[in-house]
Amino acid sequence: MHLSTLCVIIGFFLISSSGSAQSTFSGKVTNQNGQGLNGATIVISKDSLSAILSYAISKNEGAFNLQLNSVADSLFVKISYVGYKIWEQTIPNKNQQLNVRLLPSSEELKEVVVESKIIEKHGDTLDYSVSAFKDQKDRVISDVLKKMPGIEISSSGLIEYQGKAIQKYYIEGLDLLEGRYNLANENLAADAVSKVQILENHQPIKLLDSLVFSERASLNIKLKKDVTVSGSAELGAGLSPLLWKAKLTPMLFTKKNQAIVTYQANNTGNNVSRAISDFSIADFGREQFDIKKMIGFPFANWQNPLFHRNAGWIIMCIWARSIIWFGLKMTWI
Amino acid sequence: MFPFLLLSQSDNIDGNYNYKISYQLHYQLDSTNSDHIKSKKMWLYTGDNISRFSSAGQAISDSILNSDKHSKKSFGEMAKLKSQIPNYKFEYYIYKGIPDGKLSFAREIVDDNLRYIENLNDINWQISSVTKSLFGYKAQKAITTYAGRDYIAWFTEEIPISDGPYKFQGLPGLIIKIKDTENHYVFNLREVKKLPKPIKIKFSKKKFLTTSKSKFKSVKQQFERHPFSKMEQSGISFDFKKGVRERMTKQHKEKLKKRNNPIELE
Repeated sequence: MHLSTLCVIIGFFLISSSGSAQSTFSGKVTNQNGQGLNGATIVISKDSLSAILSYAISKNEGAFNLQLNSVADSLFVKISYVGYKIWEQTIPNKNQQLNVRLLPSSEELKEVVVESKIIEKHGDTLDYSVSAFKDQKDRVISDVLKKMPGIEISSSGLIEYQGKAIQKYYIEGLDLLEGRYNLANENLAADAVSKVQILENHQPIKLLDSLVFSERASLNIKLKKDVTVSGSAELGAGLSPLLWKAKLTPMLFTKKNQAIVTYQANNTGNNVSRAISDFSIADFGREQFDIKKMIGFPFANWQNPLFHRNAGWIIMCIWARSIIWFGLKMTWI
Repeated sequence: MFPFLLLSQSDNIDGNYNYKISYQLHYQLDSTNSDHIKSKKMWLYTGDNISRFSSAGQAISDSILNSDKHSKKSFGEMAKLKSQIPNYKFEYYIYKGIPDGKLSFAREIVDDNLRYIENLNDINWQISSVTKSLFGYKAQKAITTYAGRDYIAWFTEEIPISDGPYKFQGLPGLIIKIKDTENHYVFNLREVKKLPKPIKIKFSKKKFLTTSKSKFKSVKQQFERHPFSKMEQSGISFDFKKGVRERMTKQHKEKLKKRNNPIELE
């Protein structure tokens, strides 16, 4: 405690000296410019280690007033406000006026994140932590999904939760692929996903939420913070032959720009049809976002000798201006 | 010109939110069924004099729906837009410090934007000398009674923000845990963080119809009991197949019976 640096102005005004054990402390908390600080906490205890005896929160223009019944000779006062250095001092136990000027502090508030569990239930939402279920060999999110209790994926790619087909497959709350969620499920790198959420009794139309009880669950993929780009470098090179060999997942996901650019190699002709097989069920609000889809299929004319002549390709691009904006909002609020 | 200026001044609120505090709320809406405990993420944004508390779903959904981009959309289009947002249950905002020294409880019911005002110091705390370590902070116990429930709170002086979840505030430090003695409403701290960029406080008195708490409660009850009538009064028309309306109303009534345990009992 460096008193000299604190610019403390304490006025001691002896108001009364009656025999009562009750003392009144009043005063004002200001910042370095003398402006009152509203919401500062003034805490009085017996000494710096013991529990609080009395306290006040500064109100208008930093004013506070507190009473205390204590027979102690001296008391410990601590005044704190977020972003300012704590002011603390031992004072005599008698009625007095405390005018305290706090100085800004560069020290940050002690921030915490309480660790989350493997599976957690929040209301109708069940959160599965992907890292808890993911093994090293798991490449795409469907590999991990298969291991999560309650979730099953049929051979056609249909996702079921507790025996019922899911209603929606959201990515960050967006239903981009509608029934064609297989595209994402089999291409999105498991490393890019932080959580898988099951929204039980999810009602896609909000207004009906309190009226209609939906029995089918929906699934929401929560991406990791910051950027989640899988195979983006390769994508930038424009589907290079290297990529083809390595069979990486050229799926680009960022929180700000949720665009899917995916392709799937196919020498047998089976995988492609499966990937676009449509499980679409009663689609509410198919056009709500200004989504333009382009499905180019197949890309047989690539002039690259490395490509098989009959390789089937799907290139699907989703440009969604609304979604870019949506992603931005999601990050700050 | 001058009086006009004065008016606009009193309507707008200056300031920013600097911190975001997340809580996990576990609640039991049906007092007869202790197996049916639900949970929601709740967010508290705090600024110098004003804080805003709401469910995370409410905050996300409003930030999307209130964007200028959608101001010209029809009701139907908005409903579709809403369908994109994960569902949420607590559709209110609590602004502490608006007006000065009080709180504003705000909620939109169909097309009525309602607000009632309550005194902040309606909550009187009794601080106990019991301390314990909680979520990495040194916490101290305090108890209070509010709206028919007895609460046990834990606050920490390490975060000198005199605030907390729901309407609770006024302790010499942030409330990091608070629960009623029946364990029907339990708030636990999840995260405290400084916002990378302060967020401007948006609050316009003009937007709200300010009413009394009892009037607010009766409008809310009216809507819960007769949701279709309230929506129809607001100009929304429904075209049901035969018997559907009756069936939905019946289901809704059954659901209401299971929601017999609000946070405020009186």
